[in-house]
Amino acid sequence: MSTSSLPPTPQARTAWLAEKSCWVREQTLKIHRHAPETRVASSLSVIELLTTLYYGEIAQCFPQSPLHPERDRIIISKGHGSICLYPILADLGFFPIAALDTVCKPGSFLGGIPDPIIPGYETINGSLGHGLGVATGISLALRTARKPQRAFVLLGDGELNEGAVWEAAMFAGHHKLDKLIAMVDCNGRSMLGYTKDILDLNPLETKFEAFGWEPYVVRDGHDIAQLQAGFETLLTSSSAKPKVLIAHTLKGKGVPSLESSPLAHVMGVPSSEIDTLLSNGGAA
Amino acid sequence: MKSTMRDTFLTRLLQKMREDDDIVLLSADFGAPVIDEIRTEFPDRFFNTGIAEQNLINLATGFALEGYRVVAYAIAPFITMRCFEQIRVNLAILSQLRPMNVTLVGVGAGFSYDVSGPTHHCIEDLTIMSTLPNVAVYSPSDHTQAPLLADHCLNKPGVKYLRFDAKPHLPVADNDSVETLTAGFRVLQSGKEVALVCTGYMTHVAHSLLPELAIRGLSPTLIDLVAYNSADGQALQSVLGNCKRIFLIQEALVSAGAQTLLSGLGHTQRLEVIAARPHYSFEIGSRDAIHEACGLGRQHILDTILGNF
Repeated sequence: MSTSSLPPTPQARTAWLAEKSCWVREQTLKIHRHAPETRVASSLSVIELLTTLYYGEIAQCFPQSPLHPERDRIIISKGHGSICLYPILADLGFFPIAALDTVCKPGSFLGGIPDPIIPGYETINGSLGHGLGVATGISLALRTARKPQRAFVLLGDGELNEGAVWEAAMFAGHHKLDKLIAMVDCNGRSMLGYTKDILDLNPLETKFEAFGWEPYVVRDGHDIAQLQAGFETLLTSSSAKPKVLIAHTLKGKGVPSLESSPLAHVMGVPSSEIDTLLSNGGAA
Repeated sequence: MKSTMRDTFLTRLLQKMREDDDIVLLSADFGAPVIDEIRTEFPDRFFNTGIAEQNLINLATGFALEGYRVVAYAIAPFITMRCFEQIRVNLAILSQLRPMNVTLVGVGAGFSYDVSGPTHHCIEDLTIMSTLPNVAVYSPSDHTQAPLLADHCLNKPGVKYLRFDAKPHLPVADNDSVETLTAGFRVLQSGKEVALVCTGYMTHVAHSLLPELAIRGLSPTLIDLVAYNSADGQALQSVLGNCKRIFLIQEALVSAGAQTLLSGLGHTQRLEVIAARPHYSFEIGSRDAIHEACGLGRQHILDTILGNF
């Protein structure tokens, strides 16, 4: 399936994207089953968001020509937590779907943390706090070159502890980079526990507003319709501001043992549990 | 005539920006008279990032990925050490995979901000920047070299760090030429037995000591090392080959690691270092496989030991 498979009516599109998300979740768990080194919990929280971004005609991409000049730039700043992007990119045709079986295996190009040797990845991942600044530079460069493309950047909420994120937020707001779209996966948990107990980010929406951004809060980041509405609002906004989609999500979504643990980030899912989840029709 | 490296470099950069519209200048709120000219003439290709060096590097990365040739400008200790990890991740590592052209310009080499104290003294940069694969480090001694470096760096793909003295000086020799940059060094005096390999301001200091050394019967070879970590080794060897003693003189720390420790104990001649080669590994594989690829494989270690036994 590809974006061309999207049904014509809005309701059917939403249902189609929800179904696609289920497939991505299954594939992500299968990857984790044979590559337990992957950070699965933070990958499970962004599945609906990335599915909507890539399949929902939000971002323009060219699977056969990943660095096509007319592509929207998609920067993945929370690299560890984007293993779910592997099945999406493979499904769209960035690389063969068979490669999904090779994650973390010797000779593969698909590692535990994605790097731009993977078609579809723009920048280095694995060190947090860099993506927003790089995306800001890309967005400013695109504007300087009078190019219309957007720069999307996916951030984790724990990553927002990094000071460099706010250097970039300040700069992007000041320069009114209206084609810069940040997406924050607010799954509420960092490595050692809940973000509210480590460094409380709230009120996050107000923080971004104060930095000159237009925020949109998605109350349920696993609800496709809400995500679609959020992107629609931000992409059609005429405000001369950078945009931020703050999506409240559940870390480890679909896997009960992860959903309930404050330490989900460092937890794996045993093969037997994955088998059970998959045999029950997939993790919802 | 006295001048600063900063001024001669920026003057040449302004000329190049007039010729080519793919050059942008980013400054972490650090100025110069020529910067004022540039920001007046090119308001859409000069950006003040504010006092935010980490973001300076990240923005430079974004521009470079979009095909711009980027010059990022700030005070030397801050553009190297405040944002070292941004340089490592987004420039050194990423430039191994994606074409990028970024020149970092740091003003305030060594102790050139003398009365400003240790926050502004920049004595670690040569070593730490040289540890980064894919980064070429230049340490000029004269303002006559700076405009040549502007051309050289704008034309050279990859990541470069230029370390500029903050103070105006007279040239240590006649106006420099591009040949220096081709070899990465110049010979200011040819001598016998002893060589002084100097870089930056220490070239001036060593040059000023030549008369005193001559009185004592010593006429050393004096080398001005500009391409600090990438000078032509063979060319350098042809100059140094017959020297009995070589003195490296730099206004900077040397690496404080085990190699330095062992060298300090007088083991330089007997020391063979087996270490990771300067290259980032993207290959997915075991630790042993990564060791094989980066020069730390068991067989290589064995061969090196037995080959030197």
